[in-house]
Amino acid sequence: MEGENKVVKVLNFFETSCITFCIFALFITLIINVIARTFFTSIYFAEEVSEFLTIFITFVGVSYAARKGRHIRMGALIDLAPKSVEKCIEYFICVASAITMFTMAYFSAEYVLMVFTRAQSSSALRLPFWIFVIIIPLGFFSAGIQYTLTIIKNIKEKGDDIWISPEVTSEYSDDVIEY
Amino acid sequence: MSLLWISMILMLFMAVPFMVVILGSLLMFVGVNMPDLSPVIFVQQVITGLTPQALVCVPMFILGANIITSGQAAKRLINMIKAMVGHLPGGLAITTNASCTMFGAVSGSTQATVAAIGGTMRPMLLKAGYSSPFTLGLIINSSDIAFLIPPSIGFIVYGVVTSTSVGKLFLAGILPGLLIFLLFSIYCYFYSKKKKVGMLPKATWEEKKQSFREGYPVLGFPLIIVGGIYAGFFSPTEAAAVAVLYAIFLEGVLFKTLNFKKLVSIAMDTGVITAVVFILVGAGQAFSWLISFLRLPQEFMPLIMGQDVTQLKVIVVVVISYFIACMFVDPIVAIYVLSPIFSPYVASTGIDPIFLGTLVTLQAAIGSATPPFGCDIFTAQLIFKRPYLEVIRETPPFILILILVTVLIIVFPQIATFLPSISMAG
Repeated sequence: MEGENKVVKVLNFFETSCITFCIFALFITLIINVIARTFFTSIYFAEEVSEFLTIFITFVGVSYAARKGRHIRMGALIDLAPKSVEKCIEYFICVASAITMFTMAYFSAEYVLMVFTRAQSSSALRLPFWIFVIIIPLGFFSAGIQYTLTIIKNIKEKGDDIWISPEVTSEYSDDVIEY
Repeated sequence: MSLLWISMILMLFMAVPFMVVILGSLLMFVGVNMPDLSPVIFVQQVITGLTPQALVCVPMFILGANIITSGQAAKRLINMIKAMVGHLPGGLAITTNASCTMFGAVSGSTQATVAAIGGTMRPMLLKAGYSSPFTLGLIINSSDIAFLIPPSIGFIVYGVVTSTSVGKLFLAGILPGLLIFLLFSIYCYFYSKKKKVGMLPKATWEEKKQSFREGYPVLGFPLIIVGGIYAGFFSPTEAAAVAVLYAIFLEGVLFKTLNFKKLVSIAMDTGVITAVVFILVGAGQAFSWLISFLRLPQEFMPLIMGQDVTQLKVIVVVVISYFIACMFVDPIVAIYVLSPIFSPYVASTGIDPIFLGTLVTLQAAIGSATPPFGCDIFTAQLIFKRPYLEVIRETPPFILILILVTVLIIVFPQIATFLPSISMAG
């Protein structure tokens, strides 16, 4: 358990600092570009930088959102189901999600390899293009791990709680509290 | 093909995350039906989906809205509007409408608006004697207006998918948004008169001046976003970045509610929302690629459209499809799945994409507040901790008004197309 917690901590630190940094970097890039465009001329690599940041935010975030149970889903129907049914469905969700994420990770890794062997480079900065996309298989893979951990969590934890991610229990469960 | 749809619908109702619904179904479909096609193409499509420049403004608009929501802007805005119209019959309800409309100029999503305006307004409305179901119906439906007032994630995604100018779409949403505000306010006026609730004492001139002095800086947002884009001064992305700068100035320097630590956690939250939205955008792009690749529109659209295809027929079919789709799934998913299906017909009958985009975004807004599955209903449930039936009981009149607006826009397309036609937006 100790080791597991440490890994989660490191992952959490990596993910949160990456996402926060990228959002600030995106903001600063865009603002500098507005100023540059107004008074001088547009920065020629601004578009490429923002593209890179967008991809990075998305795929680090995919894993983070899986860990925190933040991915958008339509929970209306299974909330009406009895707890035992809900738990069964949750297993199905996690298995389907984990398989999908791992498969996507596999094919994105294939894609990155293809980009790498063809030595594609970006158009403005002439950087190797694999730098832009290397995060994709990593993000999908890490998200797959999160869903696998959720399955384990649901098996391990006795009691009524249904875990929709390794760290979060069922989202609407406290709804009937009086105002 | 039916395998694809059945697995998608099943997974959707089983609360599988949308991104898995789309990507998982795609992988399964290709694995079973087209083993020769390498799914690497989907990875490529996901990247293609993520890289249009117009999308970069999404995280910036979310960041701006998050900064504003965390601070005092919403409250000051409400106080200002309340001082002006609070004494009218239905004054507080109209204040709610107006605040949602104004707040829509900062925020691009209906859910953020439910949280920001609803959280402050609901206790006031209850205290004034409005019934709880009415306040909930009012809050979730007036938040729809925020989806039409720029910035709006719906317009951004629609613009990217159909290669339509996002700036012009933004402008097209303004008049329909104001029209809904007007009709909602008229309804609230008569509702309150009939039920005899909700008149506040008239604010004194001093109070009005005071609330205006506290609230007017918030009006800078529509000036930057609407004004900047209208005058052709900013692109939507630039307007978004400048709006963030203004939000930081407002909450950090003027209202002094924002410090660096708070800003960091806001940025983090923004990143997560962005990722959750963008992975849907990427997956949606992969899905719409498959639809075009399989030539689905050519295959089954003639069955729906019949022999003689008129503009009106296409518009009605598009509107109804989006209306139904957005009751079940996120608007982003709906736009990616449906627009490649309809696009050949839209192009061949020569429908103005800006006009259609406004209608589509309006349907997305209506869908998100319509029972059974509108996401705003669940947001309201979550925030206000009220049972489902109570949240939806008073929504029908509002939804009828929204449908009326849809019909009005179809009959008078100028409501949507007038502003973009006279603007300098690119």
